[in-house]
Amino acid sequence: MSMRHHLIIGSLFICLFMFFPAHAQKGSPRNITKRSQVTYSCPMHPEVTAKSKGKKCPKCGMALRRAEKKADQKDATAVAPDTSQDVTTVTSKMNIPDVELLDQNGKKIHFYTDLIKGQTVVINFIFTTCTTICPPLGATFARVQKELGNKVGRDVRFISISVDPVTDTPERLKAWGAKFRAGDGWTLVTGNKPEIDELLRALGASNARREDHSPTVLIGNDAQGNWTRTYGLANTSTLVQIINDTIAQKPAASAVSKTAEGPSQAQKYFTDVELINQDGKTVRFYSDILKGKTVVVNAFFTTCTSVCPPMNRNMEKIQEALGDRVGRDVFLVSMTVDPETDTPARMKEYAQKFHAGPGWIFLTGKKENLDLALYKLGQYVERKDDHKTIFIIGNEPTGLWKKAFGIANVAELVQVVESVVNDKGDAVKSK
Amino acid sequence: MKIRVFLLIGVLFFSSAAYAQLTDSERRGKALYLRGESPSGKEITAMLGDIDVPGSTLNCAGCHGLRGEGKTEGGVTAGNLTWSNLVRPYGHTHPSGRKHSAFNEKLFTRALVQGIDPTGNQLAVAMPRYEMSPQDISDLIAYLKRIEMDRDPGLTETSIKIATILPKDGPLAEIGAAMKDVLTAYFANVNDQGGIYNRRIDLATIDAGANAAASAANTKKAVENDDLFAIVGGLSAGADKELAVVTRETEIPYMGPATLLTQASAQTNRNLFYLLPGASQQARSLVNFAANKSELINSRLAIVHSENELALAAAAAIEDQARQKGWTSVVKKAVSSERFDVAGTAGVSPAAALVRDLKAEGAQTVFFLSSSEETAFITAAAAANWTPHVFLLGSLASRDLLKTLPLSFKDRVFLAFPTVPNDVGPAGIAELRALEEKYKFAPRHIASQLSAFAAAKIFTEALKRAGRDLTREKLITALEGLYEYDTGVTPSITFGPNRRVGAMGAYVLSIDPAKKEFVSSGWVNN
Repeated sequence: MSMRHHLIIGSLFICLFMFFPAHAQKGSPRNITKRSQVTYSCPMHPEVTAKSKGKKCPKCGMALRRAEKKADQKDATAVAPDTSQDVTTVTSKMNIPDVELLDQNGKKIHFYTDLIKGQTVVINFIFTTCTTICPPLGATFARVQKELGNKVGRDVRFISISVDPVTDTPERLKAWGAKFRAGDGWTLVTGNKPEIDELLRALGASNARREDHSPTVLIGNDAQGNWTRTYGLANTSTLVQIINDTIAQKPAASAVSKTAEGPSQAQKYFTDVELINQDGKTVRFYSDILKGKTVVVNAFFTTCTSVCPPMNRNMEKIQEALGDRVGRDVFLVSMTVDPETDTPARMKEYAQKFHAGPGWIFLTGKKENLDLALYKLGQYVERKDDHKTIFIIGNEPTGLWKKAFGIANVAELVQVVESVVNDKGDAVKSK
Repeated sequence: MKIRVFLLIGVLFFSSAAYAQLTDSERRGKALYLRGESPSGKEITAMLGDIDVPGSTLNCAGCHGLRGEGKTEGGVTAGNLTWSNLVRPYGHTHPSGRKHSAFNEKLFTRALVQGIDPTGNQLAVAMPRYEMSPQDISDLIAYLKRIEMDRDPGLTETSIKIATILPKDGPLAEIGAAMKDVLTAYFANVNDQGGIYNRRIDLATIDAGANAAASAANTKKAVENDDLFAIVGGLSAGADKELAVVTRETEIPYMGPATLLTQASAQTNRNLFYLLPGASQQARSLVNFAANKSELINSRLAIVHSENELALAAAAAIEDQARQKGWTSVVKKAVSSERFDVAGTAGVSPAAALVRDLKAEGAQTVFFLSSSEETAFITAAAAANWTPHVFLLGSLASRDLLKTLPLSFKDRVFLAFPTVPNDVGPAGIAELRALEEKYKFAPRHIASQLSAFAAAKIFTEALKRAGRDLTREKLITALEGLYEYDTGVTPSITFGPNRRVGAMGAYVLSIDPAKKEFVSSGWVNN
């Protein structure tokens, strides 16, 4: 079998991100009384807590960790829902078409110009003859509308898009909205099928059968270009929080887009957590390691005796093959999944064993920082032994990211690295 | 031999017992299951996470299906709620991997109220918790034990009981009898060919009574007492509003009442299906037709109408449609239909006075909705040397018009008709003739018989499309799926989720006063 088969190549930057949240820990049946004793909080944002395992932080997307329950926290007899909710931040600006549609009053609207441009919006997808997930979606919107009070219509707009425009006339939408007490800040849209289909495709909510439409809620601000996709059922507090965060970020983000001084989209995604290299020097993950560079990243730990040696041996061979281009065109980055054990000194020693040159950086640091950085690359694992043997090869300026199997044939690996180094940005644009 | 007969009766009794009437508790449980409202009026609240909504918003049937079969939508799977499935001794393993042991009444109640399955796992996030009274819960359980065997009214393994509404006595009795001939023959023919999926169709007749109230009361009584699946065809004229209420309240589908006063839209009453356009739909088609005449667009438009229900409905439709089509100058004038052409005390007939006023106002487009008065109006207009465009509903116009139309009104008078003789094609007429011969009835009141024939044919087609596992809901869905269905005797019939009038539009005809005949301008949609 050709080694090529082992190469897993995910080409799009954005696609790469889509894969990451797939590591949501599947909740196994748990005892209720035991569960109500603990809370889960975000390692990066301690204010974000949840009662059940498997949730993620709406701010950074990290899985929440078990924490001691505070004495003053009340616990309802009811248990927080066991949800498989996903919060995915879509960093790229969405290309939302300005299609002509109708609102619930039969008035013509241009979707982008009238509803999206420069506003913070919350979007769900419904059809009025749907009896299963749409009523809960409507009820959730109604509740969020109530919680946000007068912000709705002023700071944030609610939008329900019909996925069955052929049946859903404005009158039907109006009647449906009335059931959930839709106020002035809640627009329900329908229109001709081709335009609605185009819109749904652009928003990533297109399905062949209306029954397959997902209970997704999309929250974002067009000026920020910051979009969050989340599970829309029974999830009021998360929704309210994401909406409030999105509203709050608005001024900063509009300044960014004008001056281009603030953090870039990529920086916002990767974050600039502080890590420590093998020389004990503090480096920032995005600014010092990724920004403006092509990198080959892997995850390992120094006391690993199984796959890490062959994987890093391959890294060494890449270093050999690329010669003096390493440190100039390409940087190699090895990140530990066991920072408690792997001190900078140990990392240095390990680096020497693999004859690492100046273009090969070994990273350790505080566990929570390293976890976040690994998470953003899709390399975060709960147990160090579960770490992956995947190389993440990315060209930060062009946004082309690929994955490759870390213990594959070196020639194949070098080929992938070359393709990323030589990318002129066409690969992403052409998609 | 005796024993065998006895056994046979026993078997019959047993199988029909399965479909016997629901007990009171089961009936309440069914209402609760379908609508999420307690028949006792007690409050039911659905808690979805921290959201509380009325039970009616998140009723059982919405997710778990009308028959408790469960379904999947948007990645959310609602399980099978039939009791035999819930209490399976080996429990369940859900697609999510959640496993639990069997339910019993106590555990079911706990799941409903606290959201916990028999093994103590949480239920899926989309399943609400319900706050409801113990009585309501026991009613619901009673119905879930029965739900598999429950069928819509009028349905058994071997029969579908339907009814039609016809006048028994009075001036319309003969038309009623003529329609009944066709319906009886049509369904007898269906039964002679083996019925629909092994079910024969039993047709009953509801007496339309002397007035609208009697019509509605008789229908309501029949639907509630006689176990009817649907109503097909018949004369609802005059009782349209009342019958619309009955069909909505009793949730019985009604296919093809013959009337000019079509009621309601799909949104307010899903159960009513009309074959042909009513006065309002025909009136809108006339406006659309007028809007295509460049000399009339934005002309001064007058709507002259008498004050009966039909004319008022049509006048309202014309005004609305005209405004949609861009007319800004629209006036409505109510006229009394008595002694329209007889000169009054001032020496001027009401018709002449109306002509004088409209002419002075500069009206160029006149919609005239007063039964059989249009001849007087046009004659008066011709006398005043005034020739506006006049639009009429064919069903309100008198036959005299064809003979008396002044030559100056050539290409000026247009009439809307729901159907024209050309709609009755050779295939349709052959089908009807074959029925007449086979079941020995006479052709009379042809228009009414054709209407009954078309209603029966469409109903039968929808039953075929709905399948053996029949429900009223499936019948309605099948009817909504009809697209340009050719009955052979009417314009093609299309229904849809938002459409309850099969032929949505009208034929527009003008009169050639020289030849004294109609000239067709074709079908105009609306």
